[in-house]
Amino acid sequence: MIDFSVLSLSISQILSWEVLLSCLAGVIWGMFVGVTPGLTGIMAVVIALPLTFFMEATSSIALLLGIYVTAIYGGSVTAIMINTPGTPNAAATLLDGYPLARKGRTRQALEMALYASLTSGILSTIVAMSIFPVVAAVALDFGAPEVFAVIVFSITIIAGVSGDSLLKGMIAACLGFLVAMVGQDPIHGSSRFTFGIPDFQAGVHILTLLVGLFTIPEIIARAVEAFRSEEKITVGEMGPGLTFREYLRYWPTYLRSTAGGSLLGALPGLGGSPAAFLGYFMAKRFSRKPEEFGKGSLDGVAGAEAGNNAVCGPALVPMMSLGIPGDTTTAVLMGALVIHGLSPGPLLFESAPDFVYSVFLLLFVSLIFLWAVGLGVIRVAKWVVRMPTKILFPVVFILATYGTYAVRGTMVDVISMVGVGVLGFFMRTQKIPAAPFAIAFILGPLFENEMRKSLIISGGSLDIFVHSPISITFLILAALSAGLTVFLHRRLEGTAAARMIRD
Amino acid sequence: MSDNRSAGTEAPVSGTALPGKPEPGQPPIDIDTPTYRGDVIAAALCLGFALIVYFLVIPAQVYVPRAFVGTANSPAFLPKLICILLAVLSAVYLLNSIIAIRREATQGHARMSDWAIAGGMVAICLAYVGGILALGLPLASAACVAGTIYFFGERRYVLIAAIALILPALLWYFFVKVANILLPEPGLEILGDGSAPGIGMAAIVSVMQAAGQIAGQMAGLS
Repeated sequence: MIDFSVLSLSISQILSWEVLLSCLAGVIWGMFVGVTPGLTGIMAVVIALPLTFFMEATSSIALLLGIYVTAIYGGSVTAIMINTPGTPNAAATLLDGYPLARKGRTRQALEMALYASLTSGILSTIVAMSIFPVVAAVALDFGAPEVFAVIVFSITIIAGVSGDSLLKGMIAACLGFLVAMVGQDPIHGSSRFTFGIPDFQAGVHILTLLVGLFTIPEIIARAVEAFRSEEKITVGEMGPGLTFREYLRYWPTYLRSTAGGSLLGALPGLGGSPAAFLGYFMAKRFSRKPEEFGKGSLDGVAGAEAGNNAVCGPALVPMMSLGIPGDTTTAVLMGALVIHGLSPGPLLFESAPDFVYSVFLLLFVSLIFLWAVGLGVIRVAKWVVRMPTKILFPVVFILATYGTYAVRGTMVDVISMVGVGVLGFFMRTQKIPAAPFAIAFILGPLFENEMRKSLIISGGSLDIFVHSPISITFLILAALSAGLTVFLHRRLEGTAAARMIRD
Repeated sequence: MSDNRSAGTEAPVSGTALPGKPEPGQPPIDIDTPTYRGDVIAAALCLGFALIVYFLVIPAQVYVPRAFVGTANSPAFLPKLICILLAVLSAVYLLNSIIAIRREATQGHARMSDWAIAGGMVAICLAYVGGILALGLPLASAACVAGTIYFFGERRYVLIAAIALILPALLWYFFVKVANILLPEPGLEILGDGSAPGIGMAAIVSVMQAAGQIAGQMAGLS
């Protein structure tokens, strides 16, 4: 539990101009990177890392945390406005954010994303702070079979985002799985589907795939639209803002997504994208209007954004308590701590408890700055929304290409982006949904990796998946979820409700 | 399979119309409205893709250590499983679509001009990739953004020129000077530095080698 004497010491440490300005600078830089398609949070943190060599430990971690927290939200801005996820974490946000923008409810979607991010960020940080040792211990109980069960549960979301054709959704998911297998085999390290091209050894980058799957088809479709219409076409309208009542209505969604995101955040190696999809999935599963999902549901935006932002605080727990970074960004943060003479691990809380609390408090400070900067960005967003698509989308195409190239500095990514884009467009013409493709691509490697690690541990026996209560629980939940979705699909088929969803 | 066709498909079935042909005077449909004919093509492509990957690409492109042949821990196990699943699903999709075509005589068709515009945009994407390899990223981007804006219907040439100059310059400054990311240089990707083939040439050679391997597999199968 929280030690309040140490907490007050930490508050005095972070309330200095140097620390607060560092945090604000990090938030502004993180927002810039987040809203730029192709630039990722990790890239922003790495670019800023050399600056921290000349800064004091608390200021440097303030700068990096500001970037870390903000880049996750920033990615949703372009996802909502131009169907291009600024960062991979925003992949689930665009499923409902962009349809809302097309309906002239851009401001509502952006504000919902911001407030859901802030709410879950604050809640998950409180959770992480309060049950820091407990979360670390629970995370230790998650071995390969348990993580596999969580992934299986998350994969059942594919059925939920398949639109009105489960068959097409599953075909898209199979294609996504196959594309995810390009690169090195996760266990043996041998090449798969690389065709002898060295740059494929690391696989197809997630950002390359997301930009190809969502942005390029949108650009092609907008070209057709621009040709057909003589009128000035824009992305949509800003529309009305989010009311306080609307914000309050989605509290159950924030809580569910925060719980799911916190759990996935505390597990090393999963990151924000699966958490966003899990949040989106739970929001849809518990929604009274699941038929609105994928067509512009505020609940969907709330679920996805609350899910991915809930990862931030808990992801720091295994890093600081066990010395295990949860993802690449926390690995860089861990490097920054080491540079400043701090050793993340079981002894950090003993040796520098005030610093541990300072880190969590700085997450709160980052969220406050995010609120201010985020509202500023929403004000600026109206200029983007009013920009004619014949200017906006060619510019987006160039930005997306630069961003895709910059991720790994290889032309193979740009070629892959165009290839996936053409595939995505043809999928779009036949209403083969892109979301299951993206989900399978994101979760596929985790699924295979954890399954095979479990099988190695058990010597090939499948019993390992039903040994622990955690994995049994998640596998039962997955079976129930998949069964319920298929049942609902069959019940709805041919009914008035199905026609309403379709229309 | 659930019906998600255009309004055109809901027209009364005509005994005189040929399967898949539009009724005379039927309004064209949007390019992203699926048709049964399109479904048949998509399903056939998916089925063909699954079979090619299973029988030709996996044996040529996935190395399986001898100790793991036929086990669930083999690097080829999950790809094969996914291919089988994809083939089964695609076969069901194909069957459903063929039955639907035979049942429903009328169908809308997207305008040919829409397909031509979509094809034009795909051609711009491909030309951009070629342009990057030949001219480098900033120059190719200037040409591409100008060409794409013109393609989208903008005719204010001063505006087009301004965007084509300013955008790549700003991006070059940010990526090269601020983020220290090296952008592709003209010609190097295709031509190499004289002593070794560049990445573009290496990729082409590798794909040709892989195609040769697959052809070898095909010969083996036959």
